[in-house]
Amino acid sequence: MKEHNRIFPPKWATQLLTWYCKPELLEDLQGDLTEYFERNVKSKGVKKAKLIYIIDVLNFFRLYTIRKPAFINLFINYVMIGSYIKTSGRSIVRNKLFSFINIVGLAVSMSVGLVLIGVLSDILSYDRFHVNRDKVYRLISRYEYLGDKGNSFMATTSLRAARHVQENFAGVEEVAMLRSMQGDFKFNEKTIPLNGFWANPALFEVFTFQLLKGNPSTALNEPFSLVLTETAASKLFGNEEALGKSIVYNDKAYTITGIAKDVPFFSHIKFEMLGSFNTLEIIEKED
Amino acid sequence: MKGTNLGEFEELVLLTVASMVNEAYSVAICDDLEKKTKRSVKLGVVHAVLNRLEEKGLAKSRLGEATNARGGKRKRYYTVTNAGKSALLKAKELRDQYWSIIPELSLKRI
Repeated sequence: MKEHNRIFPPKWATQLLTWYCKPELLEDLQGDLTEYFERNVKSKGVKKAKLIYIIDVLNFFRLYTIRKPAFINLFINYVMIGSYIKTSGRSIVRNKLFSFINIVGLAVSMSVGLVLIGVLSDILSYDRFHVNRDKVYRLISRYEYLGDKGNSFMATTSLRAARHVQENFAGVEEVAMLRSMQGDFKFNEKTIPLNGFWANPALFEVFTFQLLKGNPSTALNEPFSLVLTETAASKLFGNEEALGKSIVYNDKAYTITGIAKDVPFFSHIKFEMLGSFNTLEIIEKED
Repeated sequence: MKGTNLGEFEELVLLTVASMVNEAYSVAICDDLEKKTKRSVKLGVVHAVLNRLEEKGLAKSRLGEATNARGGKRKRYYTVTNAGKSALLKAKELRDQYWSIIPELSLKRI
């Protein structure tokens, strides 16, 4: 056989074989396939011989010929791992009381830790959506009785405090005032209870509650105007346009001047509607 | 460990290895089997069986010398181990036992 007109099997198939085959089996297997190939070249022609070679290479991809991936060596010590499991199982069975105390203690402490992680991450995720969150402060009041400064705080303060802060302190940009309110709101035949606040227009400056419809700087300017959230609006009006309609609360008619996006879940201020703050002053004067 | 019983094809391969003495390598075994049994024998099957026989300890292998043929690759020659010989004998004895029981009359009708 002359070297130069020798026909070789397809190179990529040989490379594939070299790649998947165990090194200790590779050499003679390669030789066998080459021998068959050379025989087939003579009897069946080059094209068919090459095809048969490729098919054979694929055929030899079997469990016993493929080499193990390197990472499997990590698990080869399974005998040792089995021994560890067995001995630790035995020591658990031997010291029943102390194993029980240890396992229960570990379980309790781990669950306490997990609960703490859950609570903390929940607390820390509140009110994150406010753009000005690091500039917002809350005015609270401390209760004093007969000159005794106690430690009893209240989360609210007088409305006068708001005016006082705005007039006498420098560096205060906006003061948002909120008074909670709830009641039945009527539109035609429908009556629906809603929770919310009386609020002044500065609310939209201080906090980041988005208005879908209406102008945030004017929505709460006029007395007897009302901002509803999307959900509240659809409760009252269904698919109808809510903006500009008037609804009745405590025998007084209010105009819808804005539709707000629903309050995010992680907000500690939750409302379904907002009434303009100066309405409160008018109502209280009447009373 | 798998059982030391021989399957039919395993027995044939092992017998071929024994009969070829020092020339038993996969392709030659394959050719010989094809000639004697008159059925097509796939190299892959023979290779797998040889591998299994070696795993069971019935045959052992060594690599031969490199030659110009086969792309310069060495051949793997197989020989039967003592365990292999005893397994072959056991299989033969089992057959002989049955043959000795079968009355000649029943065979003549074939």
